[in-house]
Amino acid sequence: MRHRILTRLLWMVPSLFVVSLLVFFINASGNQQGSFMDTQSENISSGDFSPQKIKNQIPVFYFSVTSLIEPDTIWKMTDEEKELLQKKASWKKFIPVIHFYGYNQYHRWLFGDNSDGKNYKGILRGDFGVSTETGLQVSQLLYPRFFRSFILVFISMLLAFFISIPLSVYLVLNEQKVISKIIRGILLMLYIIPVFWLAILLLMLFANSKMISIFPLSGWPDSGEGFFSYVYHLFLPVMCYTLGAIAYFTRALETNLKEVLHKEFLLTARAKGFDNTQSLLKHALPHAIIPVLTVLGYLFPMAVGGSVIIETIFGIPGMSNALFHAALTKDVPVLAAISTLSCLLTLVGFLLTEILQAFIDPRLRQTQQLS
Amino acid sequence: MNKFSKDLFRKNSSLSWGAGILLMIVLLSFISVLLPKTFFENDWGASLQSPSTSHLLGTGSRGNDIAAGIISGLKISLTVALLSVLFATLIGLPSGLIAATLGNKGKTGIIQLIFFFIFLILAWFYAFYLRRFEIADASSDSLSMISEILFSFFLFIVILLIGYFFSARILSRLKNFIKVQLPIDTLLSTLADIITSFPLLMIILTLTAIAKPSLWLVVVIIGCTTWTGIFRVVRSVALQTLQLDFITAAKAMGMKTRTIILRHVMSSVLPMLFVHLAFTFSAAIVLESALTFLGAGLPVGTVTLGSLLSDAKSNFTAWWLVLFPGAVLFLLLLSLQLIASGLQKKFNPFLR
Amino acid sequence: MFSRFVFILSVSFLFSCQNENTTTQTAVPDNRVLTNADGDYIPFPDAPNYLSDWKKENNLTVQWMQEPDNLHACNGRTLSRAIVFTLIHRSLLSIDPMTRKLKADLVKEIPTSRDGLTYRFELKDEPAFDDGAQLTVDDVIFSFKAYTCPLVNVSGRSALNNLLNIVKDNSNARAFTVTMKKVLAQNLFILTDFPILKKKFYDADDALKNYPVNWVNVEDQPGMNKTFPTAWAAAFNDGRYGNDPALINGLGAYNVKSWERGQTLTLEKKKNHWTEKLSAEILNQFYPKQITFKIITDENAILLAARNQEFDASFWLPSKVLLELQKDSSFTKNYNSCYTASYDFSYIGFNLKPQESKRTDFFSDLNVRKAFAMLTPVDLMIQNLFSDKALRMSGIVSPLKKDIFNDDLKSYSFNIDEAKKLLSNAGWKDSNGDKILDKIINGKKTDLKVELIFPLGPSVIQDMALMLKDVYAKAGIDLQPQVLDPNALGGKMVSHDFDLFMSGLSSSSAPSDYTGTWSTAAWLNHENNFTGFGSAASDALIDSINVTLDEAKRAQLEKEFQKMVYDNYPIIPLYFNVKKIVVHKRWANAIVCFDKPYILFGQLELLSEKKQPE
Repeated sequence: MRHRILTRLLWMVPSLFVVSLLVFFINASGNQQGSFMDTQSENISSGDFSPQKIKNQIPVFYFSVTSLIEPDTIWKMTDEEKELLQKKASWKKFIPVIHFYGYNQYHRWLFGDNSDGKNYKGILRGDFGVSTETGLQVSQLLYPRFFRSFILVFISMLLAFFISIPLSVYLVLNEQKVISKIIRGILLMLYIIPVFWLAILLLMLFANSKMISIFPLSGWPDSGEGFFSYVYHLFLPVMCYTLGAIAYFTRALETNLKEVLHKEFLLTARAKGFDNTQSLLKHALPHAIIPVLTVLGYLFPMAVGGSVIIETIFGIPGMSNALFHAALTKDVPVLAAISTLSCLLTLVGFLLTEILQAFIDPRLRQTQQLS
Repeated sequence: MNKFSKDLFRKNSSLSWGAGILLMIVLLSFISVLLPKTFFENDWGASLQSPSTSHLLGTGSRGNDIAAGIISGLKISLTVALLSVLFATLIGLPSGLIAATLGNKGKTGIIQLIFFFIFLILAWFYAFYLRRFEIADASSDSLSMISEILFSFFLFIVILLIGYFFSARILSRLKNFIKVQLPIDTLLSTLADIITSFPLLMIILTLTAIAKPSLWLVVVIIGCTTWTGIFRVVRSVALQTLQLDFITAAKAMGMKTRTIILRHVMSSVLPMLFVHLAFTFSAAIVLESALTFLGAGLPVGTVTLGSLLSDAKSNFTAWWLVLFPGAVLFLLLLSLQLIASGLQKKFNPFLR
Repeated sequence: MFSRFVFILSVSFLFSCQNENTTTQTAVPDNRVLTNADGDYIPFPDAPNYLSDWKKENNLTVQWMQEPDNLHACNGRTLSRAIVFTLIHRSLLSIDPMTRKLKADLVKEIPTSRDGLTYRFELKDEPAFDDGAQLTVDDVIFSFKAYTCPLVNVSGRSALNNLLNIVKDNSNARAFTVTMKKVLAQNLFILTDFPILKKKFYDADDALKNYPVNWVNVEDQPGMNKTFPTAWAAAFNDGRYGNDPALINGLGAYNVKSWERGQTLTLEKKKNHWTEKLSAEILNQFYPKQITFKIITDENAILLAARNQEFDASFWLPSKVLLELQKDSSFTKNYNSCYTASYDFSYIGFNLKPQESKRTDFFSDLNVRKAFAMLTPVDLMIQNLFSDKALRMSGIVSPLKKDIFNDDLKSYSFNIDEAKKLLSNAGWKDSNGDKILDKIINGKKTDLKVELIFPLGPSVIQDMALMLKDVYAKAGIDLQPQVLDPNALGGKMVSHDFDLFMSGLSSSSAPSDYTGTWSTAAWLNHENNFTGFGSAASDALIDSINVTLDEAKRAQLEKEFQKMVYDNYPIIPLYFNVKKIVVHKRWANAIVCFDKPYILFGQLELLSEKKQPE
């Protein structure tokens, strides 16, 4: 068991390295600074542009493979110059050369940069730099947003749990009743329905001045507003989230319960004189819930970037909304921060899930010891 | 229809229902060939009209006929889903089989490993680095870009094959003192973990922000991110099968590994693969419509179910805009779900 | 005491109920687009009485579409930022939004200059910062040193190119002399764009002490530092100065109280602001205790918010929304609304010099450009997409600038047949029958496949692009619209990497300087001349416009220049934007103006608190 967790932990190091490489290169390819325009009005008015193109003063990565014809300072050249070199007919261009660089952009991105009065600490120390669009420190920008997204996900998941546990028990106990068949049908529909359609339907029903207008279309309560404002603003997004989650949880719980019910120890329990309901609640339920509980391990990554659609439709200024906005405006530092965070948290989530499962399931523990 | 398929559908109501609905939807998307071209044009003066005889399902905010939008949207959804599932299977199936059969026990000489990396760099250099301007120049025309990229891939594989030949025929004669264990299974699984650890929409949004929107981009991106599911299913089923007694017996009888995989492992992998493909297919459709709902991925003005729904988002007083495209999308997903669960019932002995 | 208060309230309630019918009838909104022919500014009449369901707080909530990129003193470009700056900052001179004339703001009067190069200003005595410290000449000099510093990120710095020096007066500590390099018509107007900052706050260590106002030739000037103040500039450029409310400090009547990105920006009125010591002129009065700018972008959400009276004012509504709202009697009961013309316009630009960016040469031929202009259904766009709430544009100058507006220019009329003829004259023919025109360029058969890039934004912009695609297809042009985020679009426009682009230019009532947008130098230097328009003749004309101080003569030259642009078809002019203005009736003194800030927010006074003139 310990061995397995240790290997898992060790594997996380190369995984995170690959993740950082991916994030860095995806973002480096979209890195271009420009300026702003008035985007939201019907007017497409522009101010003036004075784009400050970042010159590549240092190489991108620890090594580069170029052809012999190109100098080892090729990163300083413009694309046109590179293409001119490339078009030259020379045998030299077919010989690959590997250059190594000690100090480069990736290194600086990871470990920080203190030259020229810059005080950039590097992502390893939690500094993701400054958002190109707002000029704000990324951590400062994302901190309140993470809180909002987490509240949304947490409340929805909690609600979904508290509804789906009794629901699944009911469904297992009354398998053949008409009501449970209807419930199953509804759950199937909720399971399939695309979340954006559900959201629009909810909005159309509950935030439409021509139908029922009790909830706002979008937004988050202003700071200092009370509990009811939170209920008022969060009702529809939470409902949207919860409905999908209920369908998912109930299905999973139901299958697990049925599986557990056929196990031997329950047969003994029943033989001992427990009736069906009692044995289900006392013995089967704890076993059935546990695999579903592992979803909790993914709560944090879900709060980071898992609810793009809900947050954009309901205008919740959370992480996923920031992600969507950053992707549209190519706000590279924000994108990098969110992707790195989300990957890190998911990998930790994998680990936690595995540990949890191993602790719960004695069989898993044993096989680990054997191997 | 042979006896097997008759049996399959008669005993399996969800499968036959699902297949029926899907067939109807696919037929619907083929109707577009028969319809006049004007049917698909925007009538700018007639925006947001409720259903009438001239526009059966009403019009959108551009005066576009919703029925026409649904038909062309279905065509795009199905194409994207089909192609991306194909793409994902092309990656997921072989990698899953490789991970299951080779496991973590494979050994290789360190010299071969070093040469592999050298050839990898060489292949990348000749196939992509030297040809990068040709590929970039062709980017204005999607067809010529695809052919350029395919040619690059061809070069890449040829160079790697030369490397393989080199190491197999020449290097293997060298005495290898140092051998290393290659944990291929763990490597592939970790890679799949990493890819799944990215929120899917996030990678896609980031990539579409960088690359020029096109149908191929969406296909490749969805394919590249959904293969991990197929990989997992194939790997686990193959692992289970490989531990069965008759495989051990076949091994003992001296059957080649290749034959075992193709004959025995594949026969148990394929049914589960089909079940999973149905799920992947519907996931691809949801992804595609979510992307176009957010306005990313496909070129501006492409009418899809997602874009129709995003139009509905800003005009939801027009109920026909909300209801019809959403219902069609829902039906499509429902049919796939029914087919998937039908197949699962059929092939998974445990659930039966 | 309490009972009397209740009584008064209930009386006013009764009163309001009685009058309700009459008020709804008189307040039928004017659906015309108002221009300055309707007056220099548009005052809304005060409502006769206070309705019971109106909010009572002295807090103004403004709906807007977009938050500022930042509130840094000099490094931002958004319109919303400019609006906030009118409330939190002050500059030496300003443009009076009501008369659109130059006005002394922090200085006693607008000086007259004998040679057009030197101006002697004297600061007012009242202006003081939050801590009570009086504004001094040092603050002024520091501010301009900061704006001209090459290390500081300043948008629109080119406006300061003509500034030579600012020197403190020897005799009078509150006077200083500004020297310019050239005699230009815009000389005084550049002083309106830059807010005056507090030296002690932004440069406590006096790091800029030994630097001149004009940094361009810092090496040549004796006694001046030869090394740049890197540390100070890095600190001043820091994003915190544009985001942290505690670090945004100005002379205006409001302070930033809080800013939640993506949500609200709240300004708070300063206590004992220096403007209270000034005369009782309307622009010196500030009433709302708090002004909250709230982002509501979704059209449905705006509708709902207006019906629930969630905001008090807006100049940024989509036209569809306001038209829909005006049908409601409850809306017209609560809100005043109107449509006003503005100085901003939208257009489609051609790439006249595609060789540099290796694009296909479609548009160097005048006939092709003419054909494209004729194919553009501007009237249809305005009618269908803007519900007639936009002004068809012919030349590049807003009709609001009556004196220099060239009304001889007529907008291009839509004509497919004529356009087809022009295209075939230019050699574009459909030789392979695929319904897309083609032509042999450099020995290679090229289809007329044109990419149109346009900014990400509200759906209307995308609709315009799609409408163009539809109409162009009828003439055999394959238009491929591509949406780009504003930054990427800007980058492509500046590097001239496009076939067609759709964009806008914002302008103001100040005399325009065409150097940055239409001169050949601006194309070469990758400034705002994106199309590549220009010749020696046009450059000369721009120069002569700038140096001509005589109004009538200048107007003549301006008209000539408009004609020159019009004849060359470097752009397809689309429309001048129309501002859709809404102000809640609980505010008195509502004044709508044509230039920024469109509504005088600070001057809105609660109807219940307004002292009735005796």
